[in-house]
Amino acid sequence: MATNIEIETLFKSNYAVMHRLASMLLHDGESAHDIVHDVFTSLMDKDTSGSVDAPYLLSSVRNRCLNRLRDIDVRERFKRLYILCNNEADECDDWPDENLLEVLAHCEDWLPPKCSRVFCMRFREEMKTDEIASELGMGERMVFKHLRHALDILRLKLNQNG
Amino acid sequence: MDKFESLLNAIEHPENYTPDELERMASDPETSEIYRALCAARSSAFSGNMLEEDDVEKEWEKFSKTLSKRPKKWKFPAYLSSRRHIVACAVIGVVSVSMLAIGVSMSMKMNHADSPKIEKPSDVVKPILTTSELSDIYLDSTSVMKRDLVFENESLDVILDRLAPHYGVKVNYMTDAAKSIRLFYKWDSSISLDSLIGQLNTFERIRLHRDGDTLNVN
Repeated sequence: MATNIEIETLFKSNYAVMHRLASMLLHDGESAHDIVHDVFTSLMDKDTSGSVDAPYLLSSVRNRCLNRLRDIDVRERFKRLYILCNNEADECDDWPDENLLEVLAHCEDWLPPKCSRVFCMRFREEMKTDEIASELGMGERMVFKHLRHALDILRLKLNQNG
Repeated sequence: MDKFESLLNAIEHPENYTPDELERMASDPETSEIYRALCAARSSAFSGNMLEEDDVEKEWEKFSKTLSKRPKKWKFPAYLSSRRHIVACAVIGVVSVSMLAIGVSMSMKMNHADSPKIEKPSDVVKPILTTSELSDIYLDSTSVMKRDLVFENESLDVILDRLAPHYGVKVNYMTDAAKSIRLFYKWDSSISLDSLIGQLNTFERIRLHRDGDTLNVN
């Protein structure tokens, strides 16, 4: 069974990066805390004997997050833009890709200004279409057009990056 | 409306689509790629949120309070900690319960002569675990007298050999490397085979696929 000192060392060294991963998967910082606490609680009854390291902890976080997401109705998952993992593929093993995250965090670098603003408001800030339309003083149809345009450019961007 | 417009619509109004339609959309390679990128866009909003040291310290204080409140886990005394002693205690327990059950059965037969006949002790008491089943549980589990199994750093072939009979499937390894993948896994005996496959597939390097009554492992 892991000692309290072993748990404390692992906790303080890895908590931040584990929480970040859980936040990115669940889109919620508070739920992320719950997941990370659960991982460390499960370590309490295990014989760690040096076998627990950062990759193991991150893998545990990922598995717990993905298990939680699987219990959510697919319509809700689409709405919240949760990753969908096909059981027969390994597409979620390395998701999210850090390079892609970096690109998407700076969408103003590769999208036209208004398009980028609409894209960020919709997909990063999770604002609704009518809220974006109101904020930017445009019709919802125009918001949709900007989003559609952004998807075309995003597709080209993804093909460039391989 | 092309597929990307459909995707945008589905994200905006998923209630207008059936789960199957959404699953099909997610399976399409082009739509799937864009959907995943949009998920990453949403996730990027959290990617810069790395907790500071003070925040981690606060979380540790919260967590350490739960440590002190945890009930002390009962451990076998050291002189009884060997597997042989554990199995011996289990056998004694099983025999004692069996004797009690037989005694109850005989007593009921004598006292209720007009009642419907009780043919077997198992009609009176719940089926009890056999010694081999008990030793199977103790072999790999840290959970005392639970139906769940906890596999600690166990190889995949040992895990699947243990679980496959429960689901009535055979296991076929496509590669030898898959057999030796080690993992920590807690198995709940109430889950379906599809759920088991789903859970194990979340582990890195494990890919299970069901083909009839065969479980293929990549």
